[in-house]
Amino acid sequence: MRITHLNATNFRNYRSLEIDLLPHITIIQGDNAQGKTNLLEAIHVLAITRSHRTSSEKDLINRFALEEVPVFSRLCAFLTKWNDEYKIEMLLRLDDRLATDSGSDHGPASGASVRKSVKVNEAGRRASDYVGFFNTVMFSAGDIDLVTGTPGVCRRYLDMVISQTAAGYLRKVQRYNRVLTQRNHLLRQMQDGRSTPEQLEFWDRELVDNGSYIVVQRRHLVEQLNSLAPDLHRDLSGGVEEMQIEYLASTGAGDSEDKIKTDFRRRLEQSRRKEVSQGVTLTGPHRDNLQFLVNGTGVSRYGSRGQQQTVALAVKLAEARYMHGRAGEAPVLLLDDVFSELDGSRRRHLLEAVTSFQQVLITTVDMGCFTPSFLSAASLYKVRDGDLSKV
Amino acid sequence: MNSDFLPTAKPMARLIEELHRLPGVGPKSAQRLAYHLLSASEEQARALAEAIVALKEKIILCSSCQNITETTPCSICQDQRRDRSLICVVERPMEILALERTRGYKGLYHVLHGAISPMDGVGPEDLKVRELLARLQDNKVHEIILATNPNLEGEATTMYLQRLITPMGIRVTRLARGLPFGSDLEYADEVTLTRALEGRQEV
Repeated sequence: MRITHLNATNFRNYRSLEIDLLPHITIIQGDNAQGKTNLLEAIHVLAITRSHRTSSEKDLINRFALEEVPVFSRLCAFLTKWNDEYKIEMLLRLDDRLATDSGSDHGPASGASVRKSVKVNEAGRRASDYVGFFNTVMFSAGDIDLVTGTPGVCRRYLDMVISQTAAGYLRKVQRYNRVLTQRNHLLRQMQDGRSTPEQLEFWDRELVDNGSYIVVQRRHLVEQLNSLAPDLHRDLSGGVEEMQIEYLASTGAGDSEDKIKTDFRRRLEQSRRKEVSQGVTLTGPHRDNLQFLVNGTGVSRYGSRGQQQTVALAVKLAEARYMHGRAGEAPVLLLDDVFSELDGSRRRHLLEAVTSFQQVLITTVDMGCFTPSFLSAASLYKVRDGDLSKV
Repeated sequence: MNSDFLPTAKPMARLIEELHRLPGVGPKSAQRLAYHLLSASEEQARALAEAIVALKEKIILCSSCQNITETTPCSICQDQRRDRSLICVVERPMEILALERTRGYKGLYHVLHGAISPMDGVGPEDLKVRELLARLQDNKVHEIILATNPNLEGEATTMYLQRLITPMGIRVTRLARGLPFGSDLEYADEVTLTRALEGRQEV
C-alpha cells in the first residue's frame, strides 16, 4: 500500500502541508527542529490513530491554532491499497466546553478534552475498528529503547503491532486494564477487611479470560518475529551473530488459550495471599517482558550499543516483513533519522532491505548518508520551519 | 470556571456558578440560563426554585423497591394489577422509566442505586442488596430479572446477585444481549455481534 497525497492542517509545526508522494523512496532533508519527524508522525498517526511520541493528543495540534476557534487539527491522505483508492481522514478537535470545564486551574484544555474522529471515504469509523486498515512501520532513533528500556516499552510495542493485525485486540487490552484497576482496588479493600475473597471471583474470571487472549496474541507475534528477525540480524551484523527474542510471559506455560487459562488461574490462586498483602495483581500480561538474546546472552545488559541497535533494527525490519505477510501488501515504511547513527555496512544493509518495499519515507539531516545512485532514484524534499519544498 | 472576575452583579454571578456545577452545563450555557431567568417573570423563577427545593424535601425512597417516590410504598409497588412474583433489578431509578416505556413489563422493580465498582469504593454492602433479599423471604417471588448495565461493573453485580439468589430456589434471568432493533448488521461491533451469536434463538 502507499500514500499518494498527504494533507495536514494545524498538525504540530505545520499550519498547512500538502504533498504528493511517489512510490519507492522519498527523502526529506532538514535541519533539527524543522518538522521532519512531524511529517512522518502525521502518517503514523493516520495509521494507528495515536502518536508514538506523546500520549497528550493536544500536543499534536499546532500551537498557533490553539488560539483560534474552533481549535482543530486535521490529517487527510489518499491511500492506494490493492489498486483501490481510499481517502482516510482524522480530525482532532478541542472540545471547548469540556476544555474550560475541566481546566479551570490549569488554563484551557487538558488532554482529555480532545475529540478524535476517523473517516474512510467520508464515512465515520470507530478508531478501534479502523486501526489496521492502513499499515506503517516507523523506525526511529528511539527504537533502541525496545531493547534497553523498561518492560512497559516492550508491552506497548507488542500491543501497537498486534492492534494493527488482530481486530478486537485493543478492546481486550482496554477491558483487561479496567479489570486490573478494579481488582487491585478490591485487593486493597480485602487488606483492611472491607471486602471478602468471594468478591474476587468475578474479577479473577475476567482477568483470566481477557489476559489469556492477550498472552496468546503476544506469543504468536513473538514467534512470527523470531522466524524473521534472526536472518535479518545476520545480514546486518555481518553473519557472525545469532539473535533471538524471548517472550517472558508472567502467566507462564501453555501453547493453547485453554492451557494458558489453566496456568493463569493456578498462579492467581498461588499468589492470592501475597496479592492481598501487597494490594496488587502480581501475575498477568501487565507484567510481561521481552528479552533479546545475542549468541545466548541478554543484549540489554551485556551488549554494546551497536549490538543493541542492530537487534532493534532487525526487530523493526521483521515487523515490516510480518505486516507485509499478514496484510498481503507491504506497509509504508517511515525511517526517522536512523541512518546517522549507523556505521557504513549496517547503513548499506538497511538501505538494501528497505528498497524492496512499495513506499519508504526517510528523513535525514545529512544527505551524505546516501550514495549518489540511491539519491538519483529517490524523490527529494527539503523542509524548513514547517515549509516543504521539492529539491 | 472562576467567576470572581465576572463583571456582573453578585446574585447573578452566584447563580451562574451554581448552574455551572450541574452536569452538562458549561460556562456559556450557565450564563445564558441565568440571564434568561433574570428576564423571566417572578412566578416562573419562584416555581423553578420551589421545584428544586421540593425535590430535596419530598422525595424519599420506597421502603420496598427503593425507587424514588413521594409516598411509600410507591405507586408501582401499590399497584395490585402487577405481577408480584416477578422482580426486575436495575441500577438506577431512571432505568425504571425506560423499562416502563416498553409497557410490556408488568412485574415489580428493585433499585440497587449503583453497581459493584471497587475503584469507586462501591461494594455489595453499599447497594440495596439487603433490602432485595428481605423481599424474597416470603416465597412469593418466583423470578428475578437482572437488568444491570452491560459493562464490567454491571456484570460483576449480576454475578454477585446470581450467586446469592440462585441457592434460594428462585429463577434468576438477565436481559438478552444482542443487536439493537432497527439497525443494520454490518454496523454492529464485534463484541455485540459475538454476544448476539451466542444468544441466538430458535425461530
